[in-house]
Amino acid sequence: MGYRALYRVFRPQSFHDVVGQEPITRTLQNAIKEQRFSHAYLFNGPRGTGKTSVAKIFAKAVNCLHGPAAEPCNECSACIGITAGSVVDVMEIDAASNRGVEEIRDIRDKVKYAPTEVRFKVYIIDEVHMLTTEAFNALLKTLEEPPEHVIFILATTEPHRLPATIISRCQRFDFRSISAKSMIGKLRYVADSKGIQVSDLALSLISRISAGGMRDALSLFDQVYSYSGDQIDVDDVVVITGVVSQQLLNRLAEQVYSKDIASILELIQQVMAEGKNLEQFLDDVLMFYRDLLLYKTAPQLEELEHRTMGDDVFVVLAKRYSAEQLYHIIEELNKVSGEMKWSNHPKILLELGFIRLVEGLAAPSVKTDLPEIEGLVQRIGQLERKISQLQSAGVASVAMPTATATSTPAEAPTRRETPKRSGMPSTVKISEQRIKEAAASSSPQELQNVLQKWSEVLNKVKKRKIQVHAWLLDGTPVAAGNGSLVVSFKSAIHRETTEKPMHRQLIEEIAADVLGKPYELLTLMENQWEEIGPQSPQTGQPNGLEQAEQQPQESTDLFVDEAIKLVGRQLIDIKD
Amino acid sequence: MSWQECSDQQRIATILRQSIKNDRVAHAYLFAGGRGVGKRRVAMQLGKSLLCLRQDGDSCDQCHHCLRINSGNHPDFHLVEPDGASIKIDQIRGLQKEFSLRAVESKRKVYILDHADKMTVQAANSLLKFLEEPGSEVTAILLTENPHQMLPTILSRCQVMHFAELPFEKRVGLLKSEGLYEPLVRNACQITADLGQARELCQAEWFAQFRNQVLQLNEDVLEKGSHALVGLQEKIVKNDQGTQGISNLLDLYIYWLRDILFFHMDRKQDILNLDQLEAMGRQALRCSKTWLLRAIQIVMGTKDRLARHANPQLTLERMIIELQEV
Repeated sequence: MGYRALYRVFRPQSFHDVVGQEPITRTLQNAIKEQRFSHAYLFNGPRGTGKTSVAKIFAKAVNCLHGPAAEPCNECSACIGITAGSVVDVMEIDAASNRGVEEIRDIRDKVKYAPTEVRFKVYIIDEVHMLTTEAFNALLKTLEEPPEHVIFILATTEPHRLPATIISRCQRFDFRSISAKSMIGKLRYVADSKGIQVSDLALSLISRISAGGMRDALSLFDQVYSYSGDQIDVDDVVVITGVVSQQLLNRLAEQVYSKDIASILELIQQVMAEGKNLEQFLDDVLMFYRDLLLYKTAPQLEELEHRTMGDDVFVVLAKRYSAEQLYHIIEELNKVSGEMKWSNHPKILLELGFIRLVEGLAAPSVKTDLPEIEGLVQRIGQLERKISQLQSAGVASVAMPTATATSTPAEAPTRRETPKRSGMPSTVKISEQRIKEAAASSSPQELQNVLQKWSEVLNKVKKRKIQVHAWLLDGTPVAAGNGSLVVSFKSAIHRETTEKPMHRQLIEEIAADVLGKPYELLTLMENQWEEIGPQSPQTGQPNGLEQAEQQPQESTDLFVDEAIKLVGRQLIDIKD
Repeated sequence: MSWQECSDQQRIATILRQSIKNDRVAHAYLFAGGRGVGKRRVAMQLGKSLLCLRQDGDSCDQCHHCLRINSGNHPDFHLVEPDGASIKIDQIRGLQKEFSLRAVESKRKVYILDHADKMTVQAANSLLKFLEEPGSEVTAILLTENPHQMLPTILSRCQVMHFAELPFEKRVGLLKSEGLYEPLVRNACQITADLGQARELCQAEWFAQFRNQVLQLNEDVLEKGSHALVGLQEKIVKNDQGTQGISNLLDLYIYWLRDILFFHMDRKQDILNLDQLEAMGRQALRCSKTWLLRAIQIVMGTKDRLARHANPQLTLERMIIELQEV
């Protein structure tokens, strides 16, 4: 026979070889030594913890020609025969394939014959949970009082599916998940006996991924070994399993902390591009945050060594996050992880999850929700607003005459654009100076913030006064900074109405409320903004073509009328 | 076909080929990955390489082994597929019986279990022992789209290979080079990972129409009037594509909302509907981030409900009303 999987080659052959199940092996060994073993055992526990292996070792130990002894000799004909599966008295039955009452009747019929080669007939019934109810019941009597020479060993991963009557007839052993430490020890032993060089980090990663199943660990190790040969490093394990590296998780956690959503999305993009499984990615992230939380509460925990071993980023992160934040993050991510299993848009869910996470992340600062502080904040806000109003009013009244003078060229196009409404003179003066200042001090981040919350402002305005909302709807914030907010309008009448002191005050009030700091509202026409503004962000992207079209119409509205007469209204696009 | 043709799964092809060369082929593999990533192709290739006369880790496609595998009548190569909705225990028993016999022509036998997650509980359990310690030289290849729905005891007995999807940008690039319209391609590639399917979507006329309808639908929803309901009735419920069409439309809607969200967050490079930036900007001013997050969830929920055969019209109307009330 050619190659065999490592977990089959290194299947333990003596009680000593079995890792992580010391209480069980000791009990069994003592029982055999003192000849007090029971006639029926039930081994249950998660996958890859050694149930079937222990059952086979037990069969050997009781039948060993040099025994019964605490350890099988693995040298006598009985031991060798049982290992090879050629002794007919030791029967390994696959209960999942032979699950009917017929098969059990067959056992019952043959039980009474004495063993032919060895001392005891041992029936190892694996995956016993798959027997049908009838089969279980047919087994009951035999299981309770079998002949002297028979031992039953039932093995299963799902003991809750066995009838209570079966369980009560057996001595039950609960196999535990294998701890990382014993798993690493065993893997190290395998590596040494195969002559493989493997780093500690790689082993601890393997043990973490296999989550307590020794067979998982060994087949993963096998896979990595096939991939990378005699030199195994943590990167090889990362490639094979598709887990995310610690560095990436560190980076992610930092970005979440600094609420840098753009980089987070970038990172998700990158993870996708590397072909990683998103669910596994999320699981890794969850584990990472769990470890952060654990580290916060119990820094000396052995389990966390693999996190802190490489560098101290993890420690720094643990210090930065507050426990509440970690709870919040873990809760949110857990929710996403649950949803993702059933959704066919896992990527969107992941993105949304992180956006929501970052939005909901409160700064770990002093609590600001105390009523007194809140009251104070409000009062300060009001004061600030009043001061700025006074200031702007003063400046505006002083600057009035000059402003009209300077803004005439700027207003010329305004007039031309409102030919049909020309009954209303353009009474609203813009304080160009202030707008220029605002435009100069406008920062893209601040504007972005305003734009994101603009819909909220609109909504609140609508609730307070629906007319104002209708007027304001026309406007687009184009610059924000230095305590002023510049809104550009497409049509003059909208702008003028918005500028009415009453409306203006309302909008400023709401804006201050929503945006978190007071702003002075400055309005102007779109084309004015184009002249003043440093760049034309957002909707202010009229392409050159449009402007060129409008050039000839510049001077008078007569021109427009003439054009309409010539080519018809449909072909002329008057931009309000 | 040889390993070279599995170039889109380079990593896995290398691992498998390497293990054949080094004579370290595991007795059981589990290939996990979404639809259309080439699981079955790689599995067939692995089977051929194992049985081929060349015996150097690759297949020749000329010897009688390869030819018969290609035509599906090699006596040592078995393919098990769901019989009806699931793989039944009798199929697994048949397999076990078949594999208790020696290989007819070569030393090795290979079986592929397609849609292994569709095994019934009984079938899966009866596979366990057989999977762990098969009699002679047997290689099992299990294929699945949902590794989560497999028994952990099966997973731990296999070497699990995760098949990566072709990266999004690469798919987009491929389809774009075929002369398809980029915004459509980007949408289609997000909806499905399967290149062929995405191509079909891009070429379909209704797909482009749906995209415009989605834009209009969101406009109507934001207007808060009853337009949205009327439009829904006229255009969407009565579309030519039936329920599948509605599902596609909702996909497009989800991605449109996501675009607006990204527009908000200034991540223009991730936006799919590149040609609609202006409309996007207008709509973005009227929806807040919280609304968008909630809205995407609502649309996803609607899609879910439709998949479970709820009445399409009622479900969609409910979606609109929910969207407007948030």
